[in-house]
Amino acid sequence: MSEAADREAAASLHAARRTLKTVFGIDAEDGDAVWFAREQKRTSLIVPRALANQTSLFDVRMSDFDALLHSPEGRYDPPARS
Amino acid sequence: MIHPLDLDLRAIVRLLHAGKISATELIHEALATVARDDTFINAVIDISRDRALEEAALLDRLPSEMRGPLHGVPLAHKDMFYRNGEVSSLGSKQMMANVKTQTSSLLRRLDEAGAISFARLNMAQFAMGPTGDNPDFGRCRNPFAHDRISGGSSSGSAAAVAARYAFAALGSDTGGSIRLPAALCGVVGLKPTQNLMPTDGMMGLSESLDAPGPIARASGDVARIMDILLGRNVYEAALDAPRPVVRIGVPSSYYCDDLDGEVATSYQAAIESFIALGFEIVEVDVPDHTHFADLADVIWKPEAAALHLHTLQSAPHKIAEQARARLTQGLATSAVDYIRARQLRSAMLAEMLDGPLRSCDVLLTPAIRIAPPLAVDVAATGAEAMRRNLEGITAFTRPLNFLGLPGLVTPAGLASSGTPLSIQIIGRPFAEPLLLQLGYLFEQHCKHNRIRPKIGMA
Repeated sequence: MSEAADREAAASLHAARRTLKTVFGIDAEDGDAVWFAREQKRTSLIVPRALANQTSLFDVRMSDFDALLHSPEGRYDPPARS
Repeated sequence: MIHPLDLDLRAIVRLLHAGKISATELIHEALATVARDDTFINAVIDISRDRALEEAALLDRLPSEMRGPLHGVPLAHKDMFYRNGEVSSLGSKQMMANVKTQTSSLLRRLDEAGAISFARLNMAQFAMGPTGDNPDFGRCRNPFAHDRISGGSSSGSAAAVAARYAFAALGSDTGGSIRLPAALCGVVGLKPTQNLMPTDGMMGLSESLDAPGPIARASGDVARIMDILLGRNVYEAALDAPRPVVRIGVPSSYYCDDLDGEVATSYQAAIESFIALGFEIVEVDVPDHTHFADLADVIWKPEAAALHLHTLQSAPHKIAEQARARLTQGLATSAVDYIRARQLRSAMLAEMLDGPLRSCDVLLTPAIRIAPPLAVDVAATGAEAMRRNLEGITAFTRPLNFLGLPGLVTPAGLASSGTPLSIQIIGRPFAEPLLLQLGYLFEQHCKHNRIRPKIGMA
């Protein structure tokens, strides 16, 4: 690893530890801080990638999921217990 | 003569009702089997021997007309379903003083039906992990090949049912935690539709994705348990309904990509079995579901981190390294990403119902992309290696949790390593009766679910 990459990794680790301490009150070990930094980077890419094929989410609410789950085409209505 | 523990649940209930075997005799058999075999499997965390024997004695005195649909049946459950006055370890030795003050609705309904829930079972710590490993209680081994993974996180539930300790077990599924161990241990597991099951009195992992459900050795047994858990009378009745006229969809993409050779062979044989049973098979285009698994991460990890935040702050040593890493990852998700990922569930479910699940009634897929791996090959050896292994195991189960759809896994033969291979049947929301009927017909036709592991020789 180059010296610049080393410096970048150390800075990223330092930032992760500081966020975990100041935002969440956690004294993180180095290993946990690494997981936090990696996931921050990964997660920030996931949703934009999934959104690429969606025209807009402005009209979508989280409660629509339950409504869809229980819509007539999905819903199985069991007969009442005898 | 068949040993009583080798019978399926519905068959043993008939014998118990007829007085051919007593609840006391049966629980003694179950306890003796655990004592003999669990040194090889490690599925059990603790046994409530005295309570089990007392309950059996009481049940044996009940007149026949008062005997319930699970009268005297030994059950055991993942150690995250609470019982008032008893410990629930959640898969962590640090929680052994965790005495609960409430009883899960699901346990209570099984009790009322006459079941004897006699053991608390091994699981991934805090239900995080698909391999069956546990840093505190040790690895739960696959009953069919002890050097292979049992799957997780409901590892003990599937292994205990396969090993004939119990006739059925409760598990919970947030990314495949019922279906993966059921598939790897050669038993039947049902992940119900999102929000169908009550979740009170159990450890949560992700309030958006958690789905508790049953594991048993036959779809008929799972059906009976579902009726009891939900106070209904529809799931077992569906088994004997006229054969349904349904189109079974075989995906032409994603769920058939990069399959191991033995997985592909058993999957093809399963398709041919359904053709032989008279069902219409249609090829269905399924969009790439890879990002569903990623989106599920953006939902469950922050939800789990929120649940365990106090422990992360005050006593992080109570959480083992691998689970702590995943919880810490959950803290890295931004609020905007979390909300958008949840919003996307609506859009993606609508696409699934309007697309693949409009052109067929159910989708038939392999349960797992790869043949059951050796335990040493899925050890957490580093970020990328672990991620690759986890993706190989969970690629076909995690999308269903994101979409909220039900999925049934049932055995479909054995790999050359002697470990089970399985199929998954995916339905529209609340299609559990249809999934169970199809599983039942497949099992009657192929009898893969009758294969018994050889404990101690595997």
